[in-house]
Amino acid sequence: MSDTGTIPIRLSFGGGLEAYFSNKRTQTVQVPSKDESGAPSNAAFLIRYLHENIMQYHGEAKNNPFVTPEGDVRPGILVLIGDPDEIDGELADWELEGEGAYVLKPNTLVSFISSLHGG
Amino acid sequence: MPASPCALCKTSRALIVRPKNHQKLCKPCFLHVFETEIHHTITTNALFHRGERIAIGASGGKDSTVLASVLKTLNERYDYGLELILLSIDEGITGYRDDSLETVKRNAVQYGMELKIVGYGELYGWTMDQVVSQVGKKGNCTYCGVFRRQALDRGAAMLGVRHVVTGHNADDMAETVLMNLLRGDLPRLARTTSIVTKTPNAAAKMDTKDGRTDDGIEIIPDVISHTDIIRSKPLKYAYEKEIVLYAHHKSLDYFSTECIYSPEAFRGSARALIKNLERIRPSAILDVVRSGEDMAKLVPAEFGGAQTEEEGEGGCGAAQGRTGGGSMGSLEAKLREDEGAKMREVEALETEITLPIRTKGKPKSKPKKGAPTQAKKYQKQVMGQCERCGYLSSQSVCKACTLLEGLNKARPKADIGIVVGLDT
Repeated sequence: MSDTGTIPIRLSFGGGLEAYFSNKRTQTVQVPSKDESGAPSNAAFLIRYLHENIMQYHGEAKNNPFVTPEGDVRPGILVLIGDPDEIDGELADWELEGEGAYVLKPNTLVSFISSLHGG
Repeated sequence: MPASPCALCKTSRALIVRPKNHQKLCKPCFLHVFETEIHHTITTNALFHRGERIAIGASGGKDSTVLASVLKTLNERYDYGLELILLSIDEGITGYRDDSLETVKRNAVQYGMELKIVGYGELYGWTMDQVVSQVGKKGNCTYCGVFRRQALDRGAAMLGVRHVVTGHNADDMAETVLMNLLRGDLPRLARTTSIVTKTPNAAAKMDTKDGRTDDGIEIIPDVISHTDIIRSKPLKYAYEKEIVLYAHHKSLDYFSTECIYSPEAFRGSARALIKNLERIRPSAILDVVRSGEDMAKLVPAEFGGAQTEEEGEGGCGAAQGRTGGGSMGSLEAKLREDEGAKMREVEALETEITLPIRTKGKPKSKPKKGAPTQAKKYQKQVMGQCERCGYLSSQSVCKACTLLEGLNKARPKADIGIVVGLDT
């Protein structure tokens, strides 16, 4: 992987978040393989990258349904990670994968599910 | 990070961290533990009895979809002997409820359950789209909440069912506890934290079992029976996070979109607070629920501990009534005549959850002028029936009929027969 390269990341949105991502429940995006400081891109960087480059939201930062003004995933949104090296193909709570520190791999599946809407 | 093994089976990879105790579980163990805990809630509270027909308040959202799925599973696994029916309310919100009802229709097929849809249009002569075009987006949640509670009871009565279960989860309960604390409404807090609530029948009960005669013929309930509905919340202790994960890992088909009309600002803030607390200390949600239950024990039964309510639950955002707190209970109306009324009215305006302002203009609703400022006095609820529709009410006219009166006055040619249910 070159320093300036990108890696494909599979995304899945649920619970209404897809409305801010082209209304697509699943999509694959090319994400820089290194973050601003040159470190391998991790989940925290992915969230920042999605917020700044992919998400379609034009309201106030304090009402952003995906991230808080501090740039963290909004409480109430579940983040699940499907590590391509795990043979079971299942999604795990990102708390089990180091949360924001999880280093992205090509074809990692990251799923964001909002639990904030009615039920 | 190296994969952690499941804390229970020690073999499979853990996929879930349980919020209440940080336990790491694999998928099969999580699904089983989740279901078993709901079973435990059902049995320890003796929520159901064999042969009972249960209507599941189904919005197509995650909570009611998980509730329907889990109840179906448990009914088969533990042989509860229940007949489960899906009951959906069509508020008449184009682009929101019509879409979610499609989900419920699929669920009915997937779970092999009968589905009954009751619409605001048929019940009240007003869809929410029409209400909003009349009253605007601000405050429309009041109408939706008040109408929904009655609609669920009426729908259950139409089905000949006396027991409605709703998908309220632990996060919803914690929100409601906080909201009622912030309003200083202990009687309401006591009522809404209860796992079972009843709208007691003001008249004699029909002498039947499960809404059928001895010959097994289903009785079409009369106007009385929609005031005799039991409500319960089997998911009361289930974390929203786990409900979402359960739906994900079971690949359940649910609908999730924000209601297109205005959200409740006060509930939204309570919700954000709960979610922020959960991030710091996940057990906080259940702790708030338990605290609410303990506080409820301190409230004398006649003020709310009796587990009865009149059109008290409601609120915005989901077909089955997001949580108690959307509309103030009947106590609110009584309180308006009390000394503390003025202060409470101000609160009510801020939270947009009581009757619209114009109904407060009625002479009988006005607070006593010059009354000495004292500590709030809670009056005992005296339940009767609405003189127009027969629904349980502490006033001569129930809240839904009062709201309808305001709507119909403003409508150029008022429809006749708006209070359907008189003749059902």
